[in-house]
Amino acid sequence: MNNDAAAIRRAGDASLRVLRTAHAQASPQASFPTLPSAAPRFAFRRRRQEAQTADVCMIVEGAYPYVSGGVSAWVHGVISRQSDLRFCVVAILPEPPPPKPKYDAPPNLQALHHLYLSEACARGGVLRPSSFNQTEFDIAADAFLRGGGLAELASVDRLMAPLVKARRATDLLDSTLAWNLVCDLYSREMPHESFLHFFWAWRALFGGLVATLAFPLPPARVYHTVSTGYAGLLAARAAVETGRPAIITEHGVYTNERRIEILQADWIVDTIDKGYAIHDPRRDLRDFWSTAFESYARACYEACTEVITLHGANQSAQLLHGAALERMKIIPNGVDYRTLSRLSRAPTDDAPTVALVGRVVPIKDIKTYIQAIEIVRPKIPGLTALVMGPTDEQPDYYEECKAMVARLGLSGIVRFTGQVDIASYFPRVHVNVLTSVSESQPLSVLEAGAAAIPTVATNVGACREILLGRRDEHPALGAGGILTDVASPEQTAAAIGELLGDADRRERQGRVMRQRVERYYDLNVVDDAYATIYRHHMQAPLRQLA
Amino acid sequence: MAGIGFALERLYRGASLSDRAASFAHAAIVAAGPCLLFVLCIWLISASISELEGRTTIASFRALIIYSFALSFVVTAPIALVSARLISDRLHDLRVADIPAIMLATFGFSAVVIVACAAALFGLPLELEPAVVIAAVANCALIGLIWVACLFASVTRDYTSVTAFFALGTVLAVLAVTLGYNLRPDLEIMLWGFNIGLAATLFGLLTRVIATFPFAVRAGTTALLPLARAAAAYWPIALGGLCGAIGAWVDKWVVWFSPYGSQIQYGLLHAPLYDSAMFLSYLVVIPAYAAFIIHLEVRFFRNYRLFYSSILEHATLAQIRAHGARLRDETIASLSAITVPQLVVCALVALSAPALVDLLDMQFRQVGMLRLGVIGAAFQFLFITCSALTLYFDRRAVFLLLQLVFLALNGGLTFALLALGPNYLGLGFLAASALSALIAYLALARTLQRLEYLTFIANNPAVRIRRQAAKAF
Repeated sequence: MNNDAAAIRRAGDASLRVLRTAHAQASPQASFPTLPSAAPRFAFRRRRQEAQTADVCMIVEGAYPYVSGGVSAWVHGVISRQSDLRFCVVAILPEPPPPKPKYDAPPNLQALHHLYLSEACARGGVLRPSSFNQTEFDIAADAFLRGGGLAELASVDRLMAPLVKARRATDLLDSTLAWNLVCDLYSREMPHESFLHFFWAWRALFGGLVATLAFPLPPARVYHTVSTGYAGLLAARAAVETGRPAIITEHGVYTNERRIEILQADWIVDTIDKGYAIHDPRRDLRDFWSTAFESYARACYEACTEVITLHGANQSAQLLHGAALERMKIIPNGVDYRTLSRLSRAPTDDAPTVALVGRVVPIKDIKTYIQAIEIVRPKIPGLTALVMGPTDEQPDYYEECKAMVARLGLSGIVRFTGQVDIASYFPRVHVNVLTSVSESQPLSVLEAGAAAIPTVATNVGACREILLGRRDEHPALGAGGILTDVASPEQTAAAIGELLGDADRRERQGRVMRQRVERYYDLNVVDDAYATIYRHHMQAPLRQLA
Repeated sequence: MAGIGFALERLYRGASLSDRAASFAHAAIVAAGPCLLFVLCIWLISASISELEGRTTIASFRALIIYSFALSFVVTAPIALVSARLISDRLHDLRVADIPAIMLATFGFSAVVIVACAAALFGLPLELEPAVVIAAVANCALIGLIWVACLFASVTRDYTSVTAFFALGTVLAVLAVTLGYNLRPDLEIMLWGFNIGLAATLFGLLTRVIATFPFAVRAGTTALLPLARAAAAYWPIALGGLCGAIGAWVDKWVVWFSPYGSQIQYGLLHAPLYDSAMFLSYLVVIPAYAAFIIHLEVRFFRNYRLFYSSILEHATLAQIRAHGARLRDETIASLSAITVPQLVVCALVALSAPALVDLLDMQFRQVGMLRLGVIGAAFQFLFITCSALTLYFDRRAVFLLLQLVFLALNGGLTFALLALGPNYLGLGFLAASALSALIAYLALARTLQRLEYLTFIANNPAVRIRRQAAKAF
């Protein structure tokens, strides 16, 4: 049985992967004021350590401070630059222990809490309280997971409170109560599904939900989440329980990303053949996962007083999942325009150099970049192609890229620099390249733009908006680079060749990018926007939601 | 055990009546193995040596053998159980090449422990001569290693060879002991003669095992660490095995040290009337163990595999529950189908005990002990099978608790009921077996009733690991 259970366990580990967002081990950094886990036994120590209520509690899932770049860099920047405010961070991770942080703790970061989604609540209470009503809870949880919103979440939270107070939240996962819950839910939802997969999917989802609702909320005046999902769920719960405002800044669209992951999950056995039917009422495991995440998103949007995103392309998805138009806002990423705009430009007669600034991970599609370099190399003698970003996040993928470079004979051309200070490299770079399969609002394109470097980028996320200008750009500045299709090394190579072969065009488009960044993406503008939002909501009165 | 059971079941399903008889005979050998060897040898040896000349020597010889059986059983039970679990894990992971090293480590470790314990028992409190001590230690070690070899031999499914080697060992033992006694009528010769038979059986079993797993052992010590880790990880199983083995003997030890025991020579204690009545009782229940091996364990194992494979093959909950219900129902039905007839047989034996005692040239005082013993042995069978089946579901704590209960009841009740007099010797064993059987049956039934819940939540190692990680962090 032990061996069969090992196989059952592997199915569970696969289920847990859906909850993981990228995070990797890092080299040791300076200390964070790290607090122990969310386990109740540390609550007393936490109360002693937190002498003051934080002004802003940042809630981050699978990113800061354990992943470099992207969302993590944004969070770190916001905390560092809003230096007169006191912050705490709730870092949501799949399971303990936490990796080594990649960022030094800013002085105004009071505390770092960890919320582990994989059933990290230890049982402390002796008896299950008689005030817990299993039937009502069952109905409320079902209503929430099947497409509910804030009201349903509040119901679940209220009904679960007696268990949390008695430190028996794990009864919802590890008891006959839990068994009855999962069997009831399975029988109602998808009695035709693989029970093994349903069990682990339920356990992963429900475990995360229970962990989020049982987590001791750090006191703060404003709760700021950077995604929906579990971070958004926690923010919504905080708004309901404390009456304090919650705001969200979405970088990517969490529900879309999870939906793609779920669709691609090869460990989910399809037991319903929906064929090409668009409206098939039967629900399978993928629907179960997707609907649950949509519920989390809906609850978050309904709870948040500000629904912010980096660019317009995200707003349609937000509206679809219940965000109210009047609360929606665009505040793009900001870059240090002042520093970057002072960098010198690469001389025309220098060896032609292109650079991709990004982590060496599949989503950045480094291999398309390498293939593009191989295609364009014959036309551009003396070409140098840099990959500037950490290589330790997915070592297997990095090894594959290196092998590809060697196989294509590009060892003297393509260079992996690791994580570097881009300001020291930009003065030699003629063209910036981005071949990502998915992006939100890539900082690398904005930073290159501030340094007057044109970009060749795939048409993902906000890249069109950044390179060609927003609809409300008046006067229109023109193109700051060239867009290509995803996974098209030929188009990428052609675009690189065009820009490297035309110094005037390069100079013109670089100038356009610099102007665009100054106008819309300057960090000072972004910082002022958030400072205003924080101050406004910190002074807001308590409100009762749901 | 299930390994050889499949082969025996195939034989059982053979067309002729002789096939069925043969399968039961083989199953009896597998189930009782060394015990049968011992009983047959003692009976044959006693018959071949004249009463007047060898009575005391034979009594001492018999007592030493009993001591060896007891000690070797107690020592090897925990080691064998842990080793069996480790081998089961390796077989499941298809790491068959690791098995010879594990077996070697098990044999080696068992031999070391048995020799140490036997040297302490035979060399210190007893007044045996050094030569007899050596022979007795060798005897104990051989019996212990046969217990272990039986376990590995059951994986080979080669019942014919197992039976043949036991038969060979029996014949050699009887011949060697009888001839040796005629040359020099002392304990040392008798013990070495018996050892020759045991050695033949042991090495025969080893040849089959090695032939089944012909993988090179690169370094015998490589398996010591996995064995130690398995002992740490599966300590409830090891401790349960130890308690169970002690529990099986504790009633006899209580009687040996009571006024109903006697001293032979060299400080050897025994209670010949009680001991022989109990051993005869165990023989009466051998058919039930044989039936367990052929039918219950095999059928149970099939349904068990069906249940778990249905989960891994992505069955629906309804299908899983159906398989679980079938496992439940067929297990209980099979258990009843074996236990009830066996109880009837035991009742008949109890009723005809006076005739049996007369036939076997036993004493009339043993009638009561035999009656209580056979009924108690039937309940003990139920207890052993139910507690063994809980281990299939990895209910280690339950298994350990059951063994502790039996040990406490058997020892405590036997001691407490001594005051009732010699006619009631065996009542403590009966009461303990009956109570323990009831508790074990209820534990098994509860396990089967909650099978799905235990599989997915309460006894799921994957969940347990995460729960422990949460507590640790």
